[in-house]
Amino acid sequence: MNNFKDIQSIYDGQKSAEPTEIPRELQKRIQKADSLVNNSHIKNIIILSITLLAIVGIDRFYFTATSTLFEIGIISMIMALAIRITIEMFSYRRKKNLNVLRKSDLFIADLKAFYQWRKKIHQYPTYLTFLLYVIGVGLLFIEFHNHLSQFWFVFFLIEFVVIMLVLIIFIRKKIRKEIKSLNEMIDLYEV
Amino acid sequence: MNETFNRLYKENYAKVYRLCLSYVSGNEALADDLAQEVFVKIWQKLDQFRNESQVSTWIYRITVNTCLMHLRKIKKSQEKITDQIPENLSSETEDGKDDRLQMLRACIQKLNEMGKILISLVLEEVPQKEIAEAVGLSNENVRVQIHRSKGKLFKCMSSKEMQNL
Repeated sequence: MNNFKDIQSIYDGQKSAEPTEIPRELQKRIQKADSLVNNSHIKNIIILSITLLAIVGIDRFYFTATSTLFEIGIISMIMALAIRITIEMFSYRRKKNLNVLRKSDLFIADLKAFYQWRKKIHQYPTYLTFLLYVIGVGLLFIEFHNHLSQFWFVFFLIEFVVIMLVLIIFIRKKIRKEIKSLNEMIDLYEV
Repeated sequence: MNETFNRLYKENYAKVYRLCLSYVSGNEALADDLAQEVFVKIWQKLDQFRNESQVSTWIYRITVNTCLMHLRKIKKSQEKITDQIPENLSSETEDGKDDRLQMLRACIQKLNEMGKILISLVLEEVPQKEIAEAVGLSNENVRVQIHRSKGKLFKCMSSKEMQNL
C-alpha cells in the first residue's frame, strides 16, 4: 500500500452489474410508498380512531342510563385516545416533512430534531395518556359493580389489574429500549 | 413507469448501489435494500428536480440522506458484520471476494459517519465541488475532511496489510 491510488484501484476492482430494467420488487415498493395506508403512523391513527368511535358508539347506544362517574370514565378514555391520535398525526407530519433533498448537514439537523421529539413523546405523554385511559376504565368498574354479581365483578377486577400490570411492565420496557435507541441515534448524528 | 425514471434508474443504479455498499461495509442485501429505497425517494421527488444542479448531485444527495435516515438499520447490521469479520483476513474469503476489498470496507466502517459518506463519494470519483454541494459543506471543509479521512483509511489499510504479512 503506497498511496491512495492503491486504495482506489481496490475499489474500482469490484464488479457491479448494470440493470436492464426496473425490478418487480422496486415497482412494488414504489406502489406501497405511494399508498397512504401502508404508513405505520396512519395505521396507528386508523386503529385508535376505530377504538375511539367504538367507545363513543357503545356509550351512546348501549349504556343509555349511566352515572356521572361512568361518563367521566368514558370521557377520560376518549381524551386519552384523542391525545394519542393527535400525537400520531404530528409525528406523521414531522416524519413526512423530513426532506431528503435538503443539504445533508441540514437533513442531519432535521433527523436529530425528529428523534429528540420522539424521545420527548416517550418520556411523559405516553405515560400520561396511558394513565388517563386506565383511570377511565377504572371508573367504569364502579358502574359495573351495580350490574354484575360479586363473583364476576371480582373476576373482571382481578383480570383488569393483572392485564394493566403486565401492560405497564411491557410498555416501560419498550419505552426504555426505544429511548436508549433514540439516544444512540442522536449521538450518531453528531458528525 | 415514467420514462425519465426508467432512464435515471438504468443510468444510476450501479453508482447508487456501490455508494450504499461502501457505506454499509459490504452487506449486499442491505445495500440493495437502501439503493431501492433511494429510487423510491427519487420517484417521489422526481417532480421537484429543477435542473438547478446536476442530476448526479441530486441523486448523491438523496443517496447520502437515505443512508443517514436508515442509520439505525445500518448500525444493527454492522454489529453483526463486525462479529463475523475476523481481524486478520485470510487470503481467500468464504464467498470468493477479494479480501482487500473486504479490508477496505472494514476500514471505511471505522470512519465517522461524515467520513464514510465523503470517502464513499471520493471512491466513486465524484468531483470535490459536487461532493460539497451534495453534503452541504463548504469546499474548504470538504477538502480538509476528505484529507483526514483518506489519511485514516490509508493508515488502517496499511496496518491491516502488515498484520496479514
